[in-house]
Amino acid sequence: MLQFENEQEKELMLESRKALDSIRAHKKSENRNTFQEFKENWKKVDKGRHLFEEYESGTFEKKLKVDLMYYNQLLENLDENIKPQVEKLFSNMYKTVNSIYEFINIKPEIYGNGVNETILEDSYEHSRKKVSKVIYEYLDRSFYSLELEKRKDLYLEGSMETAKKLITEGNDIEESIAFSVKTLVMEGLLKKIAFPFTINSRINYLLEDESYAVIFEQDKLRELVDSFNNQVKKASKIISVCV
Amino acid sequence: MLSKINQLMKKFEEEISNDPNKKRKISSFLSNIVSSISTRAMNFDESYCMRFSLPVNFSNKFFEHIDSFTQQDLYDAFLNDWGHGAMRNKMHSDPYYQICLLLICYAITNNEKNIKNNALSIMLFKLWNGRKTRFLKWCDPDIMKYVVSYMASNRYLVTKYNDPLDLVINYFVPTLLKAYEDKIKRDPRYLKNLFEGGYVRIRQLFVQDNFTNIKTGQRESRGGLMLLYKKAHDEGLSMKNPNIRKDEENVPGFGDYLTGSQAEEVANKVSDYITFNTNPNYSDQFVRNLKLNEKIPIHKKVVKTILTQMHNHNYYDQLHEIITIMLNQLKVTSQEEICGKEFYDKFKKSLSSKNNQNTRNRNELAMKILTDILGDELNIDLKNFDTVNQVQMRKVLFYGIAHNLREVICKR
Repeated sequence: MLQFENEQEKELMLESRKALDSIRAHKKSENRNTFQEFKENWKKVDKGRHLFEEYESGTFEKKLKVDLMYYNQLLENLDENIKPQVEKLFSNMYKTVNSIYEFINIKPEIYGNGVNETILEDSYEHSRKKVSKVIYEYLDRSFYSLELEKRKDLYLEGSMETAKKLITEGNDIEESIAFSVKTLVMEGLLKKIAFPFTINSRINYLLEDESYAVIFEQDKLRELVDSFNNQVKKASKIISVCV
Repeated sequence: MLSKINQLMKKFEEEISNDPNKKRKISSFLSNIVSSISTRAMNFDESYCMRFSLPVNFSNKFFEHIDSFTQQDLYDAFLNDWGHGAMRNKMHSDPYYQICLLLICYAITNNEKNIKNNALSIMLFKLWNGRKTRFLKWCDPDIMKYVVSYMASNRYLVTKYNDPLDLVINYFVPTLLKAYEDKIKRDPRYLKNLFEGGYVRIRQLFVQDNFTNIKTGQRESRGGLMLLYKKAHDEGLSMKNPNIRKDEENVPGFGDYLTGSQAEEVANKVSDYITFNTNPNYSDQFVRNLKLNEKIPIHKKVVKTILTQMHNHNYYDQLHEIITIMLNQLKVTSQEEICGKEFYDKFKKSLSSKNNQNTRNRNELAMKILTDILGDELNIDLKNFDTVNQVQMRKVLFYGIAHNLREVICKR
């Protein structure tokens, strides 16, 4: 049994014991939901840390060729007169895409179920079919097969700004809204083509990760991504006109 | 952590100083071994087929003179200083080598030149025997003499020294002492470097520049005594049948690449340069060029931190090994290649070397250094980073090392 030199020490000991007991009692009373705990821990987990291979310029060139197949399909009905400007826009956009892949040092990925670099060796018809299938599947999944309510949820808010602008310019209201929604849908497709799901998730993670910001120039990555998003917005408007 | 080898050596020192007769007996014991080997070498001209005749009961004979510690104490001391990993190796845990190394340590500390030279020679004799048995178990002296006279290029050690005894006593012993004596005096843990350095140098004579044959999956070498001997043997060449080869220039003898001893020397110099230079200056221009040319999106201050903090003697061993691996992967044959304009192109390619054991070792060593630096300076755990991001951080370290390599080789 501990012997205290004086009453003061004894009192201190009793006070600190009380504090410890109340901390323990509080912890027991906290009724954390397992799901809530999982959700909190999941945020901290670095997803896909070891999934990726290093960036290779050769792979990007192949990706670029395949992505061009998508764009050729989407821009089939493009007015020849504006083709040079559009080519310039896409060229700049893909410089940004390349810069982002280089920055995060991840091997560029090709979008599309069943689509990979071997499509470059396929016949024109065969490759066209594959690419079309991917585009239609995306459009179906992201728009056509969705119920009205779901479409509103996904696209109404985002399309407001563009629609307002078109309406103020004197365009038909319904057509303006339809066009704005189409632009958003196309934007989603172009983003997926450039950065398929796993890559996009990784980019989003890196943009938020604190440790990454300590070592790497996270702000520059953010600038690149913002620049890409602006370029995609412009590109999606052009595609919406053609499609 | 205190060196247990050093503590044991102090016990040995005390025992010897209390009984000068013991020192004389140990010194004679070593001298007798070396002189009987020398006598035999004079009587039998076996060229590089020579195998040193060493006493089988070396350890027992040594411990007959010693009271202050046992063979187990010796083993435990080495285990403490070298770690379990090294001691799992048969050679590292062989008391024969441990006794020699302890004696070397004692002799260096107490300026006992004869004991030092003889103990090191005896260690190298045993290493030679082991490598010769491994690579050239059956050896015809006439074929070997032909190899040394006509097939090995002039740069090579076997052409400059008459036989292994001459090579050990007049080249390896002084070279190894020059490289490690001062370090061992400061810290006996460098005995491991001395031991492994001796092993590498001797092994290098037999096999050099190893690679895996893709077709057969076998490990082969591109140079070395073993390869040349086999060629001579297959072609029926020997001093009794000296059909001198016409195309001597293209004989792939040793020396297409930096030899083990040359690489060792470069690695020593560069590691010393880096770890002794505790106030390095990496200009903003250098950092900017590195980030731009290699597309490394790491903060400038973090790049500078990595570059400056690697100048720490705690990283000597890792840096030394990294430099050795780099030189091996670069396959340099001369100083000009390191100092030339195309060095960094070659260096860049070597960083993307295929994922073999050397590359993995190099990367692991780099990660050890980076984990330390970034953990201490920025409180960052590198395990939280993706492997592709770790690659970017390692690049900074590797380019820093390459820069220092050029500073040492090209400006001195």
